[in-house]
Amino acid sequence: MISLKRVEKIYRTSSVETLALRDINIEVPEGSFFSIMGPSGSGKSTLLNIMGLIDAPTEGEVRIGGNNVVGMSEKEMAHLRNRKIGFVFQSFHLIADLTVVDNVELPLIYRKMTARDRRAKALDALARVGLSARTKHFPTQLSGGQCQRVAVARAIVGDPEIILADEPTGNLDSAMSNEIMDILLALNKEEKVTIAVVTHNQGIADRTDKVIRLFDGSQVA
Amino acid sequence: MIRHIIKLIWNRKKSMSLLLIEIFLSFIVAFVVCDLLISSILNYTSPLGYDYGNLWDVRFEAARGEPFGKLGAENATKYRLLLNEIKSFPEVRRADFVIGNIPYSNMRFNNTFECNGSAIYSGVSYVGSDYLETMRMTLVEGRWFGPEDNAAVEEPIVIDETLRRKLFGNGKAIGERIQEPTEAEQNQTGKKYNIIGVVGTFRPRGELNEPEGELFIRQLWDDSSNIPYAAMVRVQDATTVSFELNLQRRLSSLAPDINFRIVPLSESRHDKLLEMGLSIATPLIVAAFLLFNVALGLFGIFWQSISRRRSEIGLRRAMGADSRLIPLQIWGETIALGTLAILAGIPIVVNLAVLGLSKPIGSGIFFLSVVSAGGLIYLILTVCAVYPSLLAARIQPAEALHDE
Repeated sequence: MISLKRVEKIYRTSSVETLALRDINIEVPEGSFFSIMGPSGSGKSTLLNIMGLIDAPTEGEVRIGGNNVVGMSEKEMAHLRNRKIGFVFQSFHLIADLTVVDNVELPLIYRKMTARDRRAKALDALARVGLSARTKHFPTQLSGGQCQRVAVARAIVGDPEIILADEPTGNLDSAMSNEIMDILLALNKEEKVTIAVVTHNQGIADRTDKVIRLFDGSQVA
Repeated sequence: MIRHIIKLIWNRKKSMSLLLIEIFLSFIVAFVVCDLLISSILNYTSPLGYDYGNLWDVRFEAARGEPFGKLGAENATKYRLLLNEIKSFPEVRRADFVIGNIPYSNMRFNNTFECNGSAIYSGVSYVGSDYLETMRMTLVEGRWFGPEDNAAVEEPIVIDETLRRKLFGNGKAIGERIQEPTEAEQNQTGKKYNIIGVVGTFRPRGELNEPEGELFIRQLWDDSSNIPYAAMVRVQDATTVSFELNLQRRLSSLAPDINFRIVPLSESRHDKLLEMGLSIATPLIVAAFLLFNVALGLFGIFWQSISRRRSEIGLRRAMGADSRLIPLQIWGETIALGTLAILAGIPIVVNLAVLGLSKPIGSGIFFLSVVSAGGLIYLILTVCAVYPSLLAARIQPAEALHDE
């Protein structure tokens, strides 16, 4: 499903060169649930961004569903992100001026789809995360856990094959964290969605099938 | 996508209220500018009703001290002599006296008349039988003054097309009567006039003024006539300025008590156009400066807005928007914002028209002004949104989403 071979990422400025990832080789089978752990600055988020096609490696090969994405046009990658990948972020990244249901519809507005179908899919996604009663609320009217559930609904509304979650429980208390993890685990088990979670929390990592550990940009486990 | 943009703008209406007010006011200013500009262009390109080329204005300065006084026997002879002298020049094709609205002068001669029970305000010129051909006016209906009018019971008059439309619409004008207002205090019935002809719209104030309607009253330039203000003189092609000197000399020798001021009408026209052009250009320049400042302000706000929305733009990129769609969305939002402000401005411009401060609603100019003002606002908004949109397109999702 996701394959990274000899991936390297270097951030360059006019005076500094920072090696963010070095010789990363990962094979993630379809339907697996794995976590990425490591100290701050070890390259976890960079790795997730490369897997999510929102950042490009400096060297190496990235395959999503068998397609080598290195060399793909920006439009093709945007299309692939829209169809195959769902994102969940630590700070939710909900648009404050849109209602919950409008936020969830966001990935679908970049597809050819009627407004009615978009709305139906968004309501269905919200039902799956238990937020049917909050569809007309604005993000500022929700708790952190509810916001993250909206973000999960937004990630799953387009029926992606992969969900990439960057510290999805980082801003939540333990009860809320477990709630979010339960939703993600259910998606993985019931719908065979491949899920990658970046986390600092060993408890969260223990609930995943596999843990990838990074240190100073290198894969150590 | 369009629904999404409208929803976004609608939900942000409070935070964007100042911006909306700015665009709304700009639309009103743009409407006033367009109304003025379009009216001026249409006026400029509309027929004047006479030919100013090879036409000279011989002004009698003495007459100013006693406007509209009677000629009397002695003066009538003198003025007839002057007219004959003017006509005797080989350079002169036609000439006639005029009292009232002399083309391209600042004189305004108006009166109120009654017709079919309603009062109408019109320009008035007192002219002789040769005035039509001297001015090269076009007779569109009926006839001009002639000897057959000498025995007329009611005084004959000729009106122009604008006045005819005001009085009769598309109906018949020839044979209709209009009269001067009845002076109730003096128990005096106003003088009645019989319309014998209609000439093309006559615009003595020049190309940049609206047609107001003109009424021509016949003068025989005899004892009972009033003192002429000027003689309009149609000259041959290629008449040189030396004609002015010769004419001045001859007329002064005949009537030393009158100060003659002789000007080719093309010169008066040039001066008038300059004067009117400046009075139109001044508000246009002020409005242009205002709109330029608004544009600068909008540009700043859009730029700042893009900086504030980095994470949202990054999110949209992550969700599947490519870098081409982002500027389109920003432009779409800008246009939606402009549309909201323009819709709010429409009732105001309608009110301006109702109050008579712009062209009436039914006129094509009003509609054209609304469309042009809207187009101008969209153009300003588009220009202001271009650079911020390109900046937005360059936002990398990985960086933008990492910010928070």
